[in-house]
Amino acid sequence: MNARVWGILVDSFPKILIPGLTLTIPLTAISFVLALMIALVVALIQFAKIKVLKDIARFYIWIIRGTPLLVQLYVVFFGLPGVGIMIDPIPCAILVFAINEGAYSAEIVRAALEAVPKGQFEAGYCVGLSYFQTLRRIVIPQALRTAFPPLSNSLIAMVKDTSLVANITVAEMLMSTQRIIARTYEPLALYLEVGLIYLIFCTVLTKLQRIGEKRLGTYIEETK
Amino acid sequence: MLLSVEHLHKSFGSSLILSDISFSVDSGDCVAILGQSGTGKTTLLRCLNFLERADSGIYRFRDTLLDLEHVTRRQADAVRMHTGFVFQEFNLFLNKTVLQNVTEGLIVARRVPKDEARKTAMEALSRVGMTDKADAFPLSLSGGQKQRAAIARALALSPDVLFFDEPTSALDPALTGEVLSVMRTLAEGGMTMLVVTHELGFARDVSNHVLYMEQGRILEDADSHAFFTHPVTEGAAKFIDAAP
Ligand SMILES: Nc1ncnc2c1ncn2[C@@H]1O[C@H](COP(=O)(O)OP(=O)(O)OP(=O)(O)O)[C@@H](O)[C@H]1O
Ligand SMILES: [Mg+2]
Repeated sequence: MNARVWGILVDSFPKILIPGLTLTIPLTAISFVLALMIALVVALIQFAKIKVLKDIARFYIWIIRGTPLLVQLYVVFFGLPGVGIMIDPIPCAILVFAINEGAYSAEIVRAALEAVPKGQFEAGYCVGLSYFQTLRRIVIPQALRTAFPPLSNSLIAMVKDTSLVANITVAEMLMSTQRIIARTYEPLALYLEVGLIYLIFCTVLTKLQRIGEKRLGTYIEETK
Repeated sequence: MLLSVEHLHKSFGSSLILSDISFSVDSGDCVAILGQSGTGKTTLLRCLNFLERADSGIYRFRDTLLDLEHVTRRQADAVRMHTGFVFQEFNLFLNKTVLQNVTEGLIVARRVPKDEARKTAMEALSRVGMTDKADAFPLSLSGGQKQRAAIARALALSPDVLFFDEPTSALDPALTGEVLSVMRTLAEGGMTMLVVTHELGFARDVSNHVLYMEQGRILEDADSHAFFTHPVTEGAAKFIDAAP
């Protein structure tokens, strides 16, 4: 690799990293937190078998999982203005990512809730706890421990999926990279560089996942 | 009389699991519920604590009279307030320490102040010899320790009666002794207990009364000594002989 390419790489590094820090990370963080809230509600509705709402929850999951994320982004960003609903690109991205991830995470959380042994509920009732007290204090904490690794997976996937928002005019890391490539004609080096930055972000998240698992799982760790 | 059941029936789908069950229990009784596998012992115990809903029957508990066909949740909760249940599979709250398992019902359901709940819980744990494991999590305990913790959890709520569903069946033979001896001490201390068990030695030595069941019916309802020395039915005689 020659000095020119090195120069371009060094020069472009902050230019790619900064949208990563100011866009990719906040976008992922906000969307994911909203997604988790949606997921918990949608999962609990199904777990508690609440009539009507349960069917709505299934319908939501069916629609979201059955259509591409990019199509969902286009519908909201390019389609809705046709019926008079205009949303700025970044709120639009947050909305679509939260709703999309909410559907997938809801399934993870529902499976984790169902994996908690039925005896935990029965023991709760026998010491006088109500259904919701048992759910909140006994079942949900155990389910979240089970759901934590697959949810971390989804979070890591989402970091990378945010590159799709380049398609709705948001100048995130990938779009910034493409702009630099258009000026410098070094696609290989620059695409590798942006890939490396994504890798760094995801490595940090993987480390955080380990710490989170330990924290949430004190009751499991002790046995090992 | 602490509790009694008259003409209790229970089906799962189209199969009748319990039919025309009637018996009564006095305060201080230790009643062993015996019978072959699949005769409905667990189901009966669960009906008494409303973990399962009976189809019909009359259930008298202390001074309340319940028509089992129309029990409200409030009525079921009221009975549960005065009962404790010990499961074959322990069912300790896995995300809570032993101490938290015991205080949970006191603090959350009974609204006992935390300090007082802690004190009550430690007393209950000392009755089962588990104070040194108060801060351990259930998954780190042996089966016998788990079951003793579960007994403490039930005891802490000072129930009028304790229901045990095969409390030692999930244990290594070497660990059944420590649980049975805790139960024996409780019975000797006057605790009212209904115990589904396959431990005939325990039934013979500790219980004062036996309900022997076959195919969803109570075939013998007798004083423990009488049951073991002079079983009336052929089924019961065979059942006693078959035991090791
Ligand atoms: N939830 C259920 N749904 C349908 N059938 C059930 C259910 N629970 C129990 N049964 C049936 O009811 C019958 C009695 O079961 P139960 O568990 O009460 O027997 P048991 O006397 O406790 O047996 P064991 O000694 O093996 O524990 C069995 O035939 C069982 O298959
Ligand atoms: Mg049973």
